[in-house]
Amino acid sequence: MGFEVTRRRYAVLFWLLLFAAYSVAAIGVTVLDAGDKAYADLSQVEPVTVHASEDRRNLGAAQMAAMYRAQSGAPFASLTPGTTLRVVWPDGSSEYVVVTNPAASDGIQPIPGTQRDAADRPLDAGRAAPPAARDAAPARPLLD
Amino acid sequence: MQAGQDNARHGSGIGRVHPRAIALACACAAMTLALWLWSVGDGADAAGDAAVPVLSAPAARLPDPARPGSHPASDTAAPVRRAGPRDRTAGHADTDPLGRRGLDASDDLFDYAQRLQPALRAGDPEAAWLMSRVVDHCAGYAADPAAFARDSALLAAADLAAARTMGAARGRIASRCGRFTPADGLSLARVRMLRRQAAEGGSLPAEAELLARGEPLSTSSDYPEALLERIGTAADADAFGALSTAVEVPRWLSMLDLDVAPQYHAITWQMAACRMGADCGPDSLLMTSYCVNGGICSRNAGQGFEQFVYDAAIPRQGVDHVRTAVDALVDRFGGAPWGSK
Repeated sequence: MGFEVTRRRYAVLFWLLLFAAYSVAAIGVTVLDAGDKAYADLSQVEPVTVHASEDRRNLGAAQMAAMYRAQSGAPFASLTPGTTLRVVWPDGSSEYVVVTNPAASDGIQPIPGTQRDAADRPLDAGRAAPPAARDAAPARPLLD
Repeated sequence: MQAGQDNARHGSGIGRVHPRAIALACACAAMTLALWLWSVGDGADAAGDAAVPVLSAPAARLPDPARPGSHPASDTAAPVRRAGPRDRTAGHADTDPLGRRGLDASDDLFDYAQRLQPALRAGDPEAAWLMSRVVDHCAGYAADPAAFARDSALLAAADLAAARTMGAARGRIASRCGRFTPADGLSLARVRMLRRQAAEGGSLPAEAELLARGEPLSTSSDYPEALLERIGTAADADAFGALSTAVEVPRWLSMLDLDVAPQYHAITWQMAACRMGADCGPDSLLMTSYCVNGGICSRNAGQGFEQFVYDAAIPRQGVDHVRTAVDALVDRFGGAPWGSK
């Protein structure tokens, strides 16, 4: 009798989880996967992982988003400001980002706390990105 | 016999439990769904919140609307470039080759940046903003010209509807930024630094860009409206356009009783800026940025922003609605002092 009740509970739980997973999947968040042929060789995407600086991730995600829009046939209506996306980097690490300005080179912002490494483990939510200035090469006097 | 009893008990059990289980499943799925949506939305909000710094000096110097567009760089003995038909700025009688139209018209942004240096060193906020635009425009190319060329070839080979326009836009960047190298250190960090320097010095477009990026000069609650008022008073089309992606835009449109669908908020605002005099022509920085940075390229290389939007973004039946909103924005902010209408 006890076994029967437990079995029934597990059955209910199974269907519950299946239904919940279906519901979440049905809503759909656009996924930009750097493993896709369309994005894999883009220069701003290829070297990026979730461990890169925020600037590099912004540029990489924006370049993938630009390619997505250009392929869409309705670029104005694709990935409009405020849209949330999931970006999967070439090494399999991933994060959610939000579109802020389609016309800007860095018009995408990562959502803090959503970063996951290649093994799909969450990164420390409070991890600080390396200072963006480190990405810059030493400047010529021109722009000092 | 035993098996039959089991089956009977099992069957009656399923009959008794199922409706409740289904109801429970539906309720839990709805809850899961709500939680998931909340977490995604919360994350987005968190991103926005994280981008707003707590300023230690909220009383940053406010711009003087009486001097938009002017800067000491006009004293330099640079050859005068003909800005041509792009000179249609409403609030800026800008014939300065180092001014805003000079930037739009320049074929060599390295040379333009060099000539801007004296004004930048002198602390001119307009020069800082113009330099931030040069760096923003050229950073992608200058960081790695060879990689930029590879990307261009990749995009040309892709089956894109607007491949020709995109190729032309990327070619324009490669040509205008061609003398920059990685050693120049053009980066987003430098853009941010110049933009903030310009905004703190009183550049309205720079202030507007910071607000739109969620990094306003002041966090006081009336700052966005005050900035919009100053931009309207100065009739600064570029600053007005820079506000197009600000989170305040829906509220401002609503305050003006302009009922525009959310997906058209930013482009309606930008079109008003174009009508107020911002450079929105086919080869403008705006069109190039939309195309190269956003993948939003017109298939017709001769289209400016307004034509492109009406052609590709807004359904025919919604055109009048958007046009009315653009007219109302231009009427309100496009020249006459705010409050006089």
